[in-house]
Amino acid sequence: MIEMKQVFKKYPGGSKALQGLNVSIAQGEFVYVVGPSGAGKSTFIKMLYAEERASAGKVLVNQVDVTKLSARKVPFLRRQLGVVFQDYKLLPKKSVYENVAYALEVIEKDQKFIKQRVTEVLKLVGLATKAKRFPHELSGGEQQRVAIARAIVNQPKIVIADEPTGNLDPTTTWEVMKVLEAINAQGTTVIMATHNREVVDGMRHRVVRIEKGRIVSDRAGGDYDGY
Amino acid sequence: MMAIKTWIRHLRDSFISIWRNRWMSLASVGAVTVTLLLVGVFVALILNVNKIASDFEKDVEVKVLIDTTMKETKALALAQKVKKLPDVAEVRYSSKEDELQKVIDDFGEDLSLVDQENPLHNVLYVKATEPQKTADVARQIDALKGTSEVLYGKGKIDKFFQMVDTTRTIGLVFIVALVLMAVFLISNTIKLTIAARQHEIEIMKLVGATNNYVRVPFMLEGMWLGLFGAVLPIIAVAAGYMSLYERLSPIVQNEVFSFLEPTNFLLRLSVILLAMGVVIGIFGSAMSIRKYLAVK
Repeated sequence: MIEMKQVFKKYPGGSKALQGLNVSIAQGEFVYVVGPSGAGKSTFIKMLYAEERASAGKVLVNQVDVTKLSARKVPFLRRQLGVVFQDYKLLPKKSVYENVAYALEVIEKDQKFIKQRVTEVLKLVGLATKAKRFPHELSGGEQQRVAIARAIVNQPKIVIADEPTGNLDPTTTWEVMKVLEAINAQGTTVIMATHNREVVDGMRHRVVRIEKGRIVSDRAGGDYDGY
Repeated sequence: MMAIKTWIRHLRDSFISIWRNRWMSLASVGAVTVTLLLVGVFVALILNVNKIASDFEKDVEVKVLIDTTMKETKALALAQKVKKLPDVAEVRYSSKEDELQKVIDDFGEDLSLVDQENPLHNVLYVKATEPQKTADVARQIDALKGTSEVLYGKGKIDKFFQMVDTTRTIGLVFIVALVLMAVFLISNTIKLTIAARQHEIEIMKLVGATNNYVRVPFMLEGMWLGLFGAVLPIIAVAAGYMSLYERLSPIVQNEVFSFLEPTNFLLRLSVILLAMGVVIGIFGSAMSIRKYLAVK
């Protein structure tokens, strides 16, 4: 499903974000990626959707080597993934419904299908009643759930979340985590970079710990510190 | 190729975007309006100069003064000879009596030469097949026997055509400069709106939109702005031209030239201005969005 082989990443300034990463993630797994700030978590996540490119090594997503993907093909990779960000990245001038629908408009789905599917997904994340609201009218937790709805509306096999609870208080954090759990329960792979010790220790899953650009531990059902 | 429903979405999005950024839109339309107004005036000017020049070109003829010693029958034979020369299109004979009548028509009967014997020559008026061949034709006629002088306004005509050429070139340079300026202005205004929407573009791309999918609504937006920007100039130039034409046409009625007839000309000019507006708009927005679409 996802495989990294000897992945290195050097930034133009000379800083080495990743130094020989090897990891393999199977379909349906839920994986936390943890580690201190600047350890390479974000770089790791961004490589999966080709926001960053590896300096060396292989990054396979659904059997495609992302490191060799041409710029023209990047959009098609992203359509197979759902991505959730710490700052939600919702379109500010579009309503909740329009934001989620946009992901389907991009791949030229029919209006009728879009309406049905968006309604369905908004119900799943518990926002069916707020479809006509705009992002700035929602709480952080609600905005993040809209972002998750957008990420899964296209039924991707993989959902990638980069610090999805980073801006949320504990209550809303659990709202969001429940939604991610539900998605994972339906067979979707979830890869989540996080700083949140309570979440990692409270909902046990595989934990990959990155420090100084290397994987220092990788344990199924592990805790935040890698034990 | 994009599906029709996608185009409909893009059209919808372009209108929404114009409305949500209405002040920027207005500024862009203003930029196009000013430029196209100037372009319209220049195009009208150039096309009319062209028309007048070609009217003059058509009118250029060689005046051949025939020796006063030559009898009229022989003069007519000479006319036949001239007609057979290469590049000669038309020969018209005018006797010295006709010529005198012309002078009297022009200057009135109060001329002392009326009392004397007619001092004028019999004359041939010759037209070349093409205006540029006039000088050639004149030289050939000059070589024939029985001609005392061959006139065709040598230097003057050449100078006139030179002037026309200069006017055309200057006008074209102006138009090109104006269009470039408009592209720059509109791309700058659109760039401002796009900079504000940079975040949006980034998100669109993260959700899997192709460059074209992001670009098309912006280009449609540019197209509308260019189209709207062409409306006022078309109205202004049309109104101005019609009123000028009505005023000036009677004045030049008896001249060899006339101005372009408004209906047809204004229709063509409108199409030119509309097309320019659209091209400027599309090109301007395409230029300004390029930078934001770059991917690593």
